[in-house]
Amino acid sequence: MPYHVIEKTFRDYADDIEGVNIHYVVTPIGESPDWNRQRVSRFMPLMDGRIRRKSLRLPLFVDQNGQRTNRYNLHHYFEIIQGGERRYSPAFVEEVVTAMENTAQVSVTTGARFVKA
Amino acid sequence: MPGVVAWLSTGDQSSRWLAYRGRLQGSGLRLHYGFDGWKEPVREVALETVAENLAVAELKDLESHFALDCAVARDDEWDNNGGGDYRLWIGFDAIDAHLHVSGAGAGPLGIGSLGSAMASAGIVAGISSWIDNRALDGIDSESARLFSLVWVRPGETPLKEVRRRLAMGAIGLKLHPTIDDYRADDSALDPYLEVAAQAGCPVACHSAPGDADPDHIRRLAERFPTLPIILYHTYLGPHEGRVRALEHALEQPNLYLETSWCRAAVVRELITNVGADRVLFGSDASIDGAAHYKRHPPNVEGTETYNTGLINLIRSLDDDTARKVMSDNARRIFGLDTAARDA
Repeated sequence: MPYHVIEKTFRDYADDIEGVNIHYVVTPIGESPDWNRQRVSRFMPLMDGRIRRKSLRLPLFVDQNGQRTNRYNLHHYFEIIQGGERRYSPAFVEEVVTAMENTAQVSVTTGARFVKA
Repeated sequence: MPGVVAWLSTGDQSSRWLAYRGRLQGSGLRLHYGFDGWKEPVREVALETVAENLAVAELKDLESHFALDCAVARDDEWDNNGGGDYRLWIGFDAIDAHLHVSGAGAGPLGIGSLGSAMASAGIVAGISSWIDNRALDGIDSESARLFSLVWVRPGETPLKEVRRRLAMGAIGLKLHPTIDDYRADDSALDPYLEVAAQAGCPVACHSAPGDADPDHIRRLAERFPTLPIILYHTYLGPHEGRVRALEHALEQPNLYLETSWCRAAVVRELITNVGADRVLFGSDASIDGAAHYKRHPPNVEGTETYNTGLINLIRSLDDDTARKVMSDNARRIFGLDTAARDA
């Protein structure tokens, strides 16, 4: 199934970080995320040194008012397990525009524009 | 760290000696206890100090009970395991087939919290895993009575590392298709399962909607029919998924059902349908910290705690079935007796 890829990175800020997960939801622009029902969770593997990377596979379209649109919001936050404690980053929201409309092409985005924290 | 409360002897169901080693020491120690979830009457017996930091007491009238719950006192001081109390099961040594520990940290996911949680539920040993295998390198699994699984991320975890960890004492593999973003029947898993099959180790797989669906896990089990594959949680989702997990277990003999986050009534249903040899008790401790097995509000489907649910479950089972589900199946499937002997 085709999808849109966004890579997220996280830099370990301490030696006793025991794991980092990223939680995310996509919504039509302007809608609030329903974390309890829609949350997707992924582990962020440590790739080199202190840097963790994870490529999120996002939909090419979302439904907004009965219309398919390739512009939507990605909401995400990090869960950091440090010294046996769970810590959470603030939630971020960014606008995603998938590369092509009505095609099966997979696009890759490595950066993201934060529109609201 | 919690104190240790343990049976000194097994076999006689009417009376037994109990041992305590903890922060309260010297003369005047008392064991404050009740049975089956602190049912009245609550009783007290003197603990006799027989060696440095070791006190014992003889407990009687055990035969009509399933579990002993207790705390230790001296004058006005109490050791109640940080508020969680201590539990001992009377008919078996309980093993938890599904634990997590993130390392040596002091937080709810660390080894200290897990130890307190296990002591509060009468868990004498367990099977643990963590999303980053390296986090477990810094803890003393043996003294914590933990047997480790190797967390496998297909295509990323080196096969060499899997073989090395199995050779160093890990007793199986852990798969979590949901958090690691792959389907449970992904062919990229095959080299890892071949390593497990060669080593005679089972595979535990998170079972839930989506990538970890029991339909996918069954296909994996069909490709490796001699390899025990344990469906962690049976199915962490709506009841229809548990029914499908059960149906797959009935048709695919190398599938086993682990019971974390299932109410006692659901566990009983699984046992009735698939048989006592195919169901393993597990809890996912200590995801909810030191209070994992007795948290309020209740954390098992919002209606019961593990500790209350287990009393109801064990009361409804015959002795042989209870021992299999709570202990013997995990020992057999994970080869714990062999692992302990080799150690």
